[in-house]
Amino acid sequence: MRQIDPATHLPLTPAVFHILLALAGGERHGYSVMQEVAERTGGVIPMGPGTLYGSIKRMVASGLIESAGERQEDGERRRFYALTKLGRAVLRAEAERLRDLVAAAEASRVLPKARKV
Amino acid sequence: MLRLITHALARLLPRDLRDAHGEEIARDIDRRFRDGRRVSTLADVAGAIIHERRRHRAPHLAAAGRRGTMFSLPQDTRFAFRALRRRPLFSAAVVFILALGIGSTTAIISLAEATLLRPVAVEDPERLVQVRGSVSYPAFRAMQEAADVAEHVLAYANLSGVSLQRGSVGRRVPATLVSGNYFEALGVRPAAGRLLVTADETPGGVPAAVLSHRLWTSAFDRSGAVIGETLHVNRRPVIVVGVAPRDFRGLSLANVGDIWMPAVFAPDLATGFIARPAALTRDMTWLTVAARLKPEVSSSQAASRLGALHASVYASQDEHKPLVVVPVRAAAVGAARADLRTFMLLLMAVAAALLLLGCTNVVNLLLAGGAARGQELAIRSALGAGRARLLTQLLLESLMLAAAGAGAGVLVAGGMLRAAGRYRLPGGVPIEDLGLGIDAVTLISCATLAIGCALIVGPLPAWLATRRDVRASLNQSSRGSTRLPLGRVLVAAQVALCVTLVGGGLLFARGLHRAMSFDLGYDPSHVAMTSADPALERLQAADVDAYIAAALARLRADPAVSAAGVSAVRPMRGGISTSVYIDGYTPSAGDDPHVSANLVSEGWMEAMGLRLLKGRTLRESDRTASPRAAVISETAANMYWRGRDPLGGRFRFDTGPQATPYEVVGVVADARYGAVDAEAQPFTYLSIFDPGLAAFRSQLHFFVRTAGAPMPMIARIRDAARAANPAVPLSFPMTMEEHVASVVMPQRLGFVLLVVFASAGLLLSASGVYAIAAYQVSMRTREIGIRMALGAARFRVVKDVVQDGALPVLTGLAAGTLVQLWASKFAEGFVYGLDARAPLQTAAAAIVIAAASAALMLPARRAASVDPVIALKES
Repeated sequence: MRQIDPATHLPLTPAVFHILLALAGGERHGYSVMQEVAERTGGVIPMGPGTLYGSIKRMVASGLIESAGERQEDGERRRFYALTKLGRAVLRAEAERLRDLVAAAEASRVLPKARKV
Repeated sequence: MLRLITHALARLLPRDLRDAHGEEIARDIDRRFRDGRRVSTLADVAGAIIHERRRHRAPHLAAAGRRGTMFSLPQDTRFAFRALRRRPLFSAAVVFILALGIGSTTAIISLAEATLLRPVAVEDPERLVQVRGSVSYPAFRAMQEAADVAEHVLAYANLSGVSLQRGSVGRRVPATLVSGNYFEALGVRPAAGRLLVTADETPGGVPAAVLSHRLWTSAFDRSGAVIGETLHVNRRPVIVVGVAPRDFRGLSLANVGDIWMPAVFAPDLATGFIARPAALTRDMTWLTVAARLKPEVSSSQAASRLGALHASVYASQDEHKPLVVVPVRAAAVGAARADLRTFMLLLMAVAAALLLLGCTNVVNLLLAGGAARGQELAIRSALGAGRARLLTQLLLESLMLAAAGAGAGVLVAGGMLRAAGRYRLPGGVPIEDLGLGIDAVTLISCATLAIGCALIVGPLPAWLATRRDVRASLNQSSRGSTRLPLGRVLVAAQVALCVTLVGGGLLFARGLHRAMSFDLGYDPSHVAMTSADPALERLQAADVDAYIAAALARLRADPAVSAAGVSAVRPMRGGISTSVYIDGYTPSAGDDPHVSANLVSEGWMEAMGLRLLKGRTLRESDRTASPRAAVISETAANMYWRGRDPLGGRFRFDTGPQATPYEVVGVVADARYGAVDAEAQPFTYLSIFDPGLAAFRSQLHFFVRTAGAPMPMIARIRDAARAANPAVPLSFPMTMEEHVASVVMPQRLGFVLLVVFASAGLLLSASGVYAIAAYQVSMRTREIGIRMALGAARFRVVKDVVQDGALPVLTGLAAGTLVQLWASKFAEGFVYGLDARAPLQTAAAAIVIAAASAALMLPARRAASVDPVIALKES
């Protein structure tokens, strides 16, 4: 297996970022991802069945996520997805990139400095 | 409801996405709907379709967020043209097929337009009506008082022929006598000089004459010098004042005149019945009246007003028959309008069938071609051409092919119309009189048909061709989706159409055969004919007698002549009909005994080959005998001398003591002189030298029978007639077979056209069957190779190919036969004596099967000769 440099996947589109984020806490199935993204972004990132699975397909092809088998949930058989090692690395890389961006904005007084909680 | 729409939309997502996640998508759609998020889900799926498709086409471009290259019509046109040029054989085939279909349909549209839609080239023909039947001159003048219902009332009379002399050159032309306001009422403008006006009707002086454009072109080279010149019509001087416009053909299509003169000069100019002063009295009816109605006036109003005016001339008689008024367009083709319309509809149906056949063939070709171009299209698609772009391009190709087909079609139409010129339509309308050719009508029809074809033929193959999965096409591994079910349906449709065409052609052939093989009662083979017009030379009765005697004597001296004679009437072209009073026969109440009559010389019956049943034929000496001799037909004998011997029977043509008595000296078999399938009428033959009947001799017809070929005898007749009197104009030289054949001309025309169309249809269908079968074989070469490598016999393989090809053919055969059964009922009234349809259908089916089988043979043989090794290597 080739080592793929996570940086080549950056920048991520918002949709992909949030999907990876949603899977960071563990395996989920498609609908659950949709719900999580909707909740977290307050509906700003619209994600419906059409757009979601298109992204999922591409992410599987790129090796960012993988199918984690099928399981019963809510009385239905559903397919679950999980982050791959690459996916995790990419997610982390993007998060760091974003953090650097925010830091730059704070330095220029665009944003007030965030206080550490 | 929204949910269904959303699910349906989800079907439009790209295939690979559907394959991978289709179930999940469907389930999640349902779940979201249950959660109440309806519109957003619909919008999401719709958006995804656009988004995913764009990604699909050009992943690199979509990732960068750009759309494909912009639409460029000129560039696409150039691509299309180049694509067509790369496959010259294919393109040529398509253009050829379209040209044939479009051209023949256009020709028929032109014909229909000229006869049914626009037969009368005058201003505003809608308000023109014609009075049925003939009226007298004073009655016409009275009807001109109808200013309250009509803007103009005009009259005309067709003369079948006048002699026209310019210097020493004479010819026979058809003529029309007209009222002074004729041209003004019809709103016609001259092509040169001026047209007739009411002032030209002043009696005395030299009559004015207007030439037809046709005559002006053929006889006078369109020279302006002829205007003002004096010509001689029937040896009377007339002054040419102008030329009628090119497409003006008068008001009756079947009798297009070449020269128009004022009717008031009839007694002087004409010959025959109206060549006397009595022509302008109310006793002689010979004019046809037409009128241009005022805007709010109905036909019935006009009819009653004109009828009243007409009756006022005959005030003493109390018969006031209401006149019948018909629109001029219907009257233009005369009594045979219904026949003509049926004929034209039949032709149009046939042409449409051929066009359809051509289109389906082209669709098939395009389908097969599209599949073969899969690789090219896939590459284009991978390079960023959107589906819309590819579609545009393929449609442009179809349009270009159609345009080329239309261009060639114009030529085909022109050629067909020219070739058809020598035929007549039902109603006796000579096609060449219609002035058809490449004009606005043909061009517009071609263009419209081409666009129609492109619309029918283009979209479906283009859509299918651009649908293919990019990767699969690049791989070029042939899989199940090459069965082309659509192609086979089209083949079935083609075969069905073809069967109908072939069946129709056979039907016409049969009808024609029957029409021509009716027992005419005389023998038209080996007979030559020529007509002479002594009346046009104004010969006196004694001179006519001498003319006939001299010409016949000369002919009889010729060793090649076995019989020669002269008659006043030509078979199938009119006759003399008169009341008859028979000694010893009392007609029942309401019965008005009539006979048709012909005046003949000695030797005529022998020349015609009439069968003598009893007694003898007419002789020279009969001219002065009293009672005069007459020969009657079998039907006359049965009708008027039933139960007694007709020989010696007597009859008259008039009551009163002055009536000349006639005595029957012979009985001949019935002969058909009218329509070929009409009932036999009672007939009588009288001596052409009968002094009392000289008025009926305005035209003479020579008949000469020979043992060998009749064609050379035509010259002999001409020589003998000229030797007898060179000034008498001769016309209509032909063999009798040609003459009889001309009567069934509409059938012949229909027959020829159907044979042409049916052959074209067979060719198209056969090539359609071949194309599909060949395509199948080439696509399944791999499969065939495998099967043969696994030990399948060649025979089995071939059988499969044939079976595959046979199914659509058989389906088409069945469908076509049904259509044919239905259609033949429609054509029934038109073709003589239709019956026993079964043998015709079988014959048609057999022909089509033979053609289809031949077409299947080649691909089948190719399938059989597939080398398994080579086939397997192909992948």
